[in-house]
Amino acid sequence: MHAERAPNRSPDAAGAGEPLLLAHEADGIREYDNPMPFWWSAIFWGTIVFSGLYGMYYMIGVGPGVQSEYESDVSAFFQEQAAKLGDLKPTELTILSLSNDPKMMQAGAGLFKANCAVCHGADGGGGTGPNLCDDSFLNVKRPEDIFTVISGGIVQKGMPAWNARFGEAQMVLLSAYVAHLRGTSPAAPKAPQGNAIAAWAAVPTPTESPATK
Amino acid sequence: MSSMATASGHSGAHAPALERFSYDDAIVRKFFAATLLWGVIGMAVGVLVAIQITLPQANFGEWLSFGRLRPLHTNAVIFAFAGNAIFCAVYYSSQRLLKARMFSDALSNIHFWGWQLIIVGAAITLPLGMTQAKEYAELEWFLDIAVVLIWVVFAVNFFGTLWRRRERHLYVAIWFYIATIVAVAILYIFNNLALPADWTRSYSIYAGSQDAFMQWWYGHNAVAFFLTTPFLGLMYYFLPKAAERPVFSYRLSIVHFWTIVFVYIWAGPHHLHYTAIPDWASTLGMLFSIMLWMPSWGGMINGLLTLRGAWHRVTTDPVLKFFVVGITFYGMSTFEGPLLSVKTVNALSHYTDWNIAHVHSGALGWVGFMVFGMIYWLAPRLFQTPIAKPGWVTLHFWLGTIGILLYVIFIYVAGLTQGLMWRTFNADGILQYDFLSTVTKLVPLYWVRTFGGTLYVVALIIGCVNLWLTWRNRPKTYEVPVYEAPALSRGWRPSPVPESALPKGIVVEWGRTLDRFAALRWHRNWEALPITFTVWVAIAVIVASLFEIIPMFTIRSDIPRIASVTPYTPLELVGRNIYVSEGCVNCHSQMIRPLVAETERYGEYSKPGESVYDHPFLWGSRRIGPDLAREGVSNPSALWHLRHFNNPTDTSPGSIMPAYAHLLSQPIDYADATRSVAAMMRLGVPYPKAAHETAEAEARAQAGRVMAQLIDENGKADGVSQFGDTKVIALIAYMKRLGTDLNKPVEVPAVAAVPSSAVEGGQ
Repeated sequence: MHAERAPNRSPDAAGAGEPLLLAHEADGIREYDNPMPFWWSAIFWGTIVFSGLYGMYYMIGVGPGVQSEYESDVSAFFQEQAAKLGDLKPTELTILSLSNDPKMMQAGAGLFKANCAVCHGADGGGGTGPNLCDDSFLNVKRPEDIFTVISGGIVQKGMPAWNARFGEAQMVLLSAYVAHLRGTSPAAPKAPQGNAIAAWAAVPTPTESPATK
Repeated sequence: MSSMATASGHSGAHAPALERFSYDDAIVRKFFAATLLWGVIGMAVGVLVAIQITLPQANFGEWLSFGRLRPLHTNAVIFAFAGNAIFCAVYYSSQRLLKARMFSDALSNIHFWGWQLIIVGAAITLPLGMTQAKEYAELEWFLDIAVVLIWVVFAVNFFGTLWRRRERHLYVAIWFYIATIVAVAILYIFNNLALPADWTRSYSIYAGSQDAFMQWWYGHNAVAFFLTTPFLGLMYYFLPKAAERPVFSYRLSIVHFWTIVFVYIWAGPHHLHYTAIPDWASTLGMLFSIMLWMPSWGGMINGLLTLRGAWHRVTTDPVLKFFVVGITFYGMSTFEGPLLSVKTVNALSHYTDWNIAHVHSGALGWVGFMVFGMIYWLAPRLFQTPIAKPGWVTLHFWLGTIGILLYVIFIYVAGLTQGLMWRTFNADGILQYDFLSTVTKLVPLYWVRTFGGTLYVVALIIGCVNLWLTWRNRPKTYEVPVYEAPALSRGWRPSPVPESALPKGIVVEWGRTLDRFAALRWHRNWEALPITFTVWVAIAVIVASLFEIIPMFTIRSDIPRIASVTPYTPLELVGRNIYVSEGCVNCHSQMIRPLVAETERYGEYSKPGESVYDHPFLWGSRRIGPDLAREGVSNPSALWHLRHFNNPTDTSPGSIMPAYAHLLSQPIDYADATRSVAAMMRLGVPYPKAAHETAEAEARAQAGRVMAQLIDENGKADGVSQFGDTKVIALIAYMKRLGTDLNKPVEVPAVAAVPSSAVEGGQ
């Protein structure tokens, strides 16, 4: 490039700092011989050094991979959730006492809305799936049966098996929410399906649910 | 035309014989007009799809629904608007930079008309549902062949011009054009390798993770070599011309050109963070994206700093205004790109509107405004008359700028809002928002976006009217100046590269070699050697590609097989074809990432082994609707799907999904089952021998089983039985299969699996 530097400086050259104009031109376009700005080179080399270090850390097996990160995240998540929900078992007593616990029912409503509402309606009034607010049920006689249906599904009828997705405590919570829906008045109730069943047993108001502590 | 009467090169001193030549501006005018025409059409379709997102009733029947028009919008804007603008820039500037008329007027015209025919072909076939389902590579195999042929015509025409040039050294704009031509050819061909199943349909030869990898190797580099390098070339010619200032730094041009060419190629896998590709690919994609930040900014610096000494003119010259805003958006997008490629950021941004905002700040800001700057600079020169309404150019600029800002700001907000809502857990450790509420939340923002986009199109239409008025003032016959320049002298030899100035003996020899290399003096010789230059560009692109592609296709442990994953049944394949054809992948992903918020919402994350028979992969890139990777697990109801396809708001109030009622009336093409299975077998999907012969019967049998379930769920035949043998049945069969293989009991070895056994597997 030195050889091609033209003796002429650019016409509006202000002082000694004015860069040299290279001699060559292309269709009248000229080019300065400015060096790369320092910050540009610094960041560029910085990204290269960073990439080298990051790559070594993660690609030779020191840093955790995506899967192992997920596994530790998910186990922490379930531990925390289990601590919140408690060790819930699918018994009549647990399900019914949960269904009388307004705080737990708020949690259950979130689960229901996100996963069940598509077929059973946001208020449980039914849609593609049956109405859960009336007294008639297809596969349920006792509260524990709700758990069985949620867990194992009735796949040929379109009801998914949720045991692949949820832990036992979550499914117990959902069962309680469904038990709790019974007797509420949905906006657009679907006609009853199945047989009318006996009312849920009376259960004392819960005192030891961890969420009420 | 320019005031230059004689183009004389300084190399002319020892070559006295002057040749006389003129430039072909007629072809430039054609590409100029096509740019504007397709720009208006492509962007108007963009406004329509933006309306469709907020107003499902704006989906007019099967041909004009979002899933089919969205690819039309992207293809029209990229290949028709930006494509014609690229050719306009290349044909105008290359002739002048090389002091030579285009190699062949006939090839120029074949190029022009061929390209327009391809665009018309795309505009017809995409609404008809003929698509390969890979983003920006949707065009079916017969159009792909046409694209490659026309690209070859372009390449021959361009390199022919290089061969006949009268200017020894190639200017930086030409380097970028070379990179564009070489890289686009390689990317386009290898991503589009597909096996035709019939005259209108083909299957990618790659499957699952490998297909995804190839697609984003291509997709990312379409951004690089179709929307970046040619526009940098455009910038390097038209900006210094318009500013009448020298380019800021020649050596920055060299450094950022080569680093862009080499580094860009690696960055593709950042589109696939947390998906079913190996960690190393994802990591490389991220790191090379970060390293790409400064090479990209090299272009921005060279653009903006070229304006030093001309800033006072920016206030008065709308051409420079367009360029300044365009380059600024380039700077913002190329900072945002590396940012989005950081895995942690990507976990939030992926599948959201953040990406849509990112590409539109690039497309509307960088590509669009660079094109408009060029258009307004060219118009008086091409039509040899001043711009009819100079004030309107400034109006175009301001309306366009406000349009972009309204568009991108509100869509950034939409992207962040949805991304954050998806990952919010309430105090009980349960996801706070169901999917639908994260969609309806965005609708007001979508309306502002639609308004911003409309402003941008209106501004362009004002520009078109202005340019039409200008064209009407053209002279009766255009003046065609004749230039004179000597032919390139034979016997040119590269000049010796000066030794390093570092003292011998004190500095070790390799240090001096490095210093000599860093002085870049050798590059001036390369610029005189187009073949060498092109070969090095090709090497940079190919080597960088192979570094990722070879391991991706050879390390078998990266894609662990899952014994329970079996090929689709014939009816599911037909359903999958419908899913592809309707463009469902434009709104629904099929890829659950290993993130707690995601597995809580959709179920177990997707494994590489689950999509090994997916030709093409359908992982998607945007969740306008929910992920469907485990749809068969979480929603096995046939009746729900039937009601939902007929009218989505029946089952999901507030849904913005279009109704697919036509699927409930059109009959299943059972012969398609035979063709599809046969094509899959040719691609190596392990169906039993002669499976295609029984495919049609199996498909009919499975359709019967789906109908039986519908009747069972419905409680009576009345209301569902009339949909037997309609397309929706095949699509339901496909929906019910999605994601069910993972936990399916393995009864027979996967290879020998009888396809029909997988239908209601595990049920």
